[in-house]
Amino acid sequence: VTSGALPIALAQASGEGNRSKIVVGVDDIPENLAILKAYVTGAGFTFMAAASGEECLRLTTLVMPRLILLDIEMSPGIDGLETCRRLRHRRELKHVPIAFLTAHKTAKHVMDGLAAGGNDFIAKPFQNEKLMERVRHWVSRRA
Amino acid sequence: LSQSRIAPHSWTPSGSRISDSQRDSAAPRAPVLDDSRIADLAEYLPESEFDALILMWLESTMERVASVAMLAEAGDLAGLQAVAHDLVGTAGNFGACRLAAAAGRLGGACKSSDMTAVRYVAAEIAGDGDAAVAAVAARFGRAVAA
Repeated sequence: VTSGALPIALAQASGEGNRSKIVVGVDDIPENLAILKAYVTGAGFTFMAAASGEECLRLTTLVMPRLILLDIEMSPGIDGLETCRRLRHRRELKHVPIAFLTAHKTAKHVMDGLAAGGNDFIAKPFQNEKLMERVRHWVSRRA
Repeated sequence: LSQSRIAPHSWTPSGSRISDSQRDSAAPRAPVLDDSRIADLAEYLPESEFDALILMWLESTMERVASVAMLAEAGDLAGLQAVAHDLVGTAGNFGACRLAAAAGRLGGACKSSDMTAVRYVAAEIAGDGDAAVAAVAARFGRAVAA
């Protein structure tokens, strides 16, 4: 998580719920988070990183993201599917779009992801234009 | 970089045969490096962050490639599948196409528990990993040279 960030700063960045420009990225591989950050901030959004599902669950108690980019296969700890299920159990996050990031987009992944409450799948490796097209799509959606 | 790794074309697992399909799957090889991926990334990052990211990628890729060799030796399919999954994304994100493709094949071989293919592709990854790391370091590794 963006360590050292104060709750006040986070609340300001969060910008009153669904008007926030925060995109949370969750991935256990630092290089992937760095790439997501570069592209997402380059498009004018605020990027906040979480290195695990648990960190994502904590971070989203402090900020209201406009979109969550969530890796499916993470270790150790809970994977993206379980993270998604837990996020969906929180009333305030029920309508926040969640896009899974995956290197293996199989039919099972898609079925499991949708059943867990996910909205979209973005393939790894990231293609900048495709990634940002999906980000803009979900961020522009009315809550 | 390790000089002791065995090039895949000269490697055959003892007591096993490489099938035609395994040879064919490696035939039209992807390029070692599509440098447009990293060049695109450089547009979005300050120079110091970009250099740090390249260094991070070089180190983690060498670690992952080394762990593939160790896990293949130990026959740890679950461990290999996890590393292969990571490599598909990280190598692909940085344009290391040949390494990413080999990692994808390794994941498939693990899934089907085909130990002959696993060892063969693991050896390929040793060579492809070295080539990718050398190419990225030569093209983008200002921080490595400094």
